[in-house]
This record gives sequence, structure tokens and C-alpha cells, in this order.
Amino acid sequence: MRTYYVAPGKMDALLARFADHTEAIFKRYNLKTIGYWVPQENEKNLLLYIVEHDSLEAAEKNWEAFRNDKEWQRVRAETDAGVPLVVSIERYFMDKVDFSKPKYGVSSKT
Amino acid sequence: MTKSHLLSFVCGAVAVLGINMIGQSKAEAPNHVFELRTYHAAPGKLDALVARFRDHTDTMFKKYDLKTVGYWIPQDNTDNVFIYIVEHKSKADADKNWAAFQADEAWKKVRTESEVNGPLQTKVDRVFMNPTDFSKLK
Repeated sequence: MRTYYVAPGKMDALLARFADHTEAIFKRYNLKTIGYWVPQENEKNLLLYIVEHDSLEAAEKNWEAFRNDKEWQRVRAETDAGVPLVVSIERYFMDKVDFSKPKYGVSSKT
Repeated sequence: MTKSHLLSFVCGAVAVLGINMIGQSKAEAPNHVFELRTYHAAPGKLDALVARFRDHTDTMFKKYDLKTVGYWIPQDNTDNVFIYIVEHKSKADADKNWAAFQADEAWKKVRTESEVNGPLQTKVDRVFMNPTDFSKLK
């Protein structure tokens, strides 16, 4: 689970970067996102998302490959434009409990 | 034909007919609301809390359309927490379903019996969240 503390006034720019670039680049490195969310009451200006990894080792390997991706480095430099969109990131790894649904899937909206 | 394809067709047909449907363009079902719940387990009670969810609570949630996306425990669990996300059709639906669950006699019995030696959690953090447009779950 990753919690991004977004720079003031930069939420829309960060969401656009994920929508237009980051999510697609994640797919190259098997960084499978389950969902992205913004709290309804968002005093801290947070964006949260969860990435599913095969293992902790796979997570480290895939994140490193992502960080070294030339397109990502270019996109980040252009969109940050000297002022990072994200102030800080909290991340923690979690284990799914045994009775958790086996697949996260896509929600079936009704 | 999938629902989204059908919706596209309907929207297209409306445009072709030139009917003024302003305000109807967002006819797709609204995004769901996701509730992130972080349970701070009482000291020594994390296993009992997880067992209660495994043996009882998760099944009872289903009665009240409380759809859990996943249950997790942090690997480095210094805060002794148990985390899960519930998917709701709306905030109003969430309130209604939680109230029904809280009033369930079987749940009240399970909770009372599981807490004879004290509560299994000290507090619960709840955050209601909206999915982003590009989220898989929404």
C-alpha cells in the first residue's frame, strides 16, 4: 500500500500523470495496481494505491526496473518541472490473510 | 452485448436522434465508495481478531452486502493492525448496511462471546475514499 502526500494544488496534475503515463509504464514491469483512491475528506491531500506483487523480491526488482525506465524518467522530469508533485511517500508491504478473496478483480458496478 | 457496449449504443442513438439529453450523459452507474478500515488490535489479540473475521464476521458481512476487497496484515506490523477495504455502492448504502450489521443478533452474540476477556481492538480508523478514473476497482 502506497500513500502519496501530494504537493499543495498538485493533485490534478498527479492524477493526470498516473492516468496518462505512470499506469501504462507500471504494466511493463508487472506492477499490478488493484485500485487508486482519494479520501473523501482529504485534509492531508493524499492519494492511495495498492500494488500486488508475486513476492517481496519481485517488488524490489520491478520497482527498480521502473525507476530506471527512460520514459518514466523523462515524464517525471517534465511533469515535476522542478517542483515535485509528491512531497513524500509512505509504503508498507502487507500479506493477504487466508480468507481474503483470492482475486481482486474489477468491481461490477450496479 | 456488455453493459458498457449497450450504454455506448444508447448514447450514440440519442446523439443521432438529436434529442436534448443534457444531464443524461453520465448515465453510467456512479463509482463505488471504498472504505479503508484499520483495526488497532489490543495487545496480544491480533490472532483472535483475525480468527473472528475468518470464522464469523466475513460471513456475516455478506448478509448485508458489505463486500470486502481484501484483508491484510502489514509485514512489519509495529502498530499491531489489521486492515481491510469494503466496497459500497454509495456512502448512504454504507451507513445503512453497517447499521443493519451492527443490529444483527448473531453478530452481537459473536462479539460478546469473543470479548469476554476484553475488546479485541482498541480503535478503528475509517477512511471513505473515491476511486480515481483510472482505478481498476471503481
